[in-house]
Amino acid sequence: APICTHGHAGCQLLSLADLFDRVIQHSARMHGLSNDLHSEFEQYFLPSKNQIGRINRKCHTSNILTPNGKENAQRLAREELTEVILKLLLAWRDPLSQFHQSIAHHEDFNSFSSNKALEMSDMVHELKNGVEKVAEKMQLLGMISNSLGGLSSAEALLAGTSSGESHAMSDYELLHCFRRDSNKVQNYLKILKCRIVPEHGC
Amino acid sequence: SPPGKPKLTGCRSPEKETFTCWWEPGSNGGLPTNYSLFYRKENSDTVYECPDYHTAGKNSCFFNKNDTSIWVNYNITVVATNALGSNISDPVDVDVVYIVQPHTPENVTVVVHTVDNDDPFLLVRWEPPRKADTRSGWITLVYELRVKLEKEDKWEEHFAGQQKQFNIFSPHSGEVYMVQVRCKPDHGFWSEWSSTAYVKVPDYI
Ligand code: NA
Ligand code: NA
Ligand code: NA
Repeated sequence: APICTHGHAGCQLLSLADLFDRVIQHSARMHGLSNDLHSEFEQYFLPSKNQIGRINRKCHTSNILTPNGKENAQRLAREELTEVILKLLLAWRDPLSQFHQSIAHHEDFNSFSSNKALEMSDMVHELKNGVEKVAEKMQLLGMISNSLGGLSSAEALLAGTSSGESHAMSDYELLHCFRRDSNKVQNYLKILKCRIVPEHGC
Repeated sequence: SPPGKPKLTGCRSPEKETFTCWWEPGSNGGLPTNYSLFYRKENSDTVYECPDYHTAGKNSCFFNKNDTSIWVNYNITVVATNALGSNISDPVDVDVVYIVQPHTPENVTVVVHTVDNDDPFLLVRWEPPRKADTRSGWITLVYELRVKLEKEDKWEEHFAGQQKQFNIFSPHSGEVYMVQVRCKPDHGFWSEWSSTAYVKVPDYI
């Protein structure tokens, strides 16, 4: 289900904890789809699993600095963690849309997989909107500062530029990278939630 | 003769912060044989040797917090060497995110809960494994419990989601029940079943 936008009646009731749970569920679903597609690729398109390790991959999002490990994620300011999540989601919007186009025309791929790719592409967009709503609410409640502006122009341009390079990435590599990034997003959202509303299921 | 080919049997992390890999030695060719584990991290050509062969016991390698990165693939091999030669295992590729198998839930208790004239039920409670940092959001666990009458063989399983308690309704009067709980992270493996908690339901009409 799409995440409530600002003016909608009935959405006023959603607490910050509820909003977090919704985006976390959404990110889990998105990561699940990437996992499914990744397995399908390994099963049908790669003759030997042992070759996978030898692919030297560089994800187009590797220029986005992401905390590796629990302590590093916890050390980041709430604003910074929020920004990392938003940057990752923004950087995947165009590549996922191209990925869907690519496998929609792929004869070996069934329509089931193609639908998953489409859903994944839609979800990254919705999730970005959802996280923006969460960020707005955190700002309204004074839980994070209003200094999240950096993303709008300069960062968006940067993310847009690097997503162009993803044309060169094979579909498998792209899936590998998205599977990892969507897991990061899910994990960072959970860390953020437990810092902001620790009394809710943490 | 030279050693047979060793086999990496798997890697597991109990809490997404450390991990261990195990191997089965091949034949030793009748000679003293030494085993070494080597790993290389994704996008790096540097090969490292196992940092700790002792902590996790025989034929294993333990990676502590400082040696563990997540969202990075480790390419791992084991080399067996004796006086007549050496042999290398097939490589295994792991990302720690996907090899998490937590320890069992702790402090599992079960009591008969009675309120006024309502039918009694069994109230089961437990805690997450101590090592898994669920409070920070770093790891999220879902739980499953199984229940059986002590005198019977068949367990009945219930999924509890992220809750840390569960009610079992309509217990049989005068019987002893056994309860165990296990847990699983979102992208990993079920823990073993916890130790058993017992409860005797009083005789009531
Ligand atoms: Na995770
Ligand atoms: Na060892
Ligand atoms: Na939990």
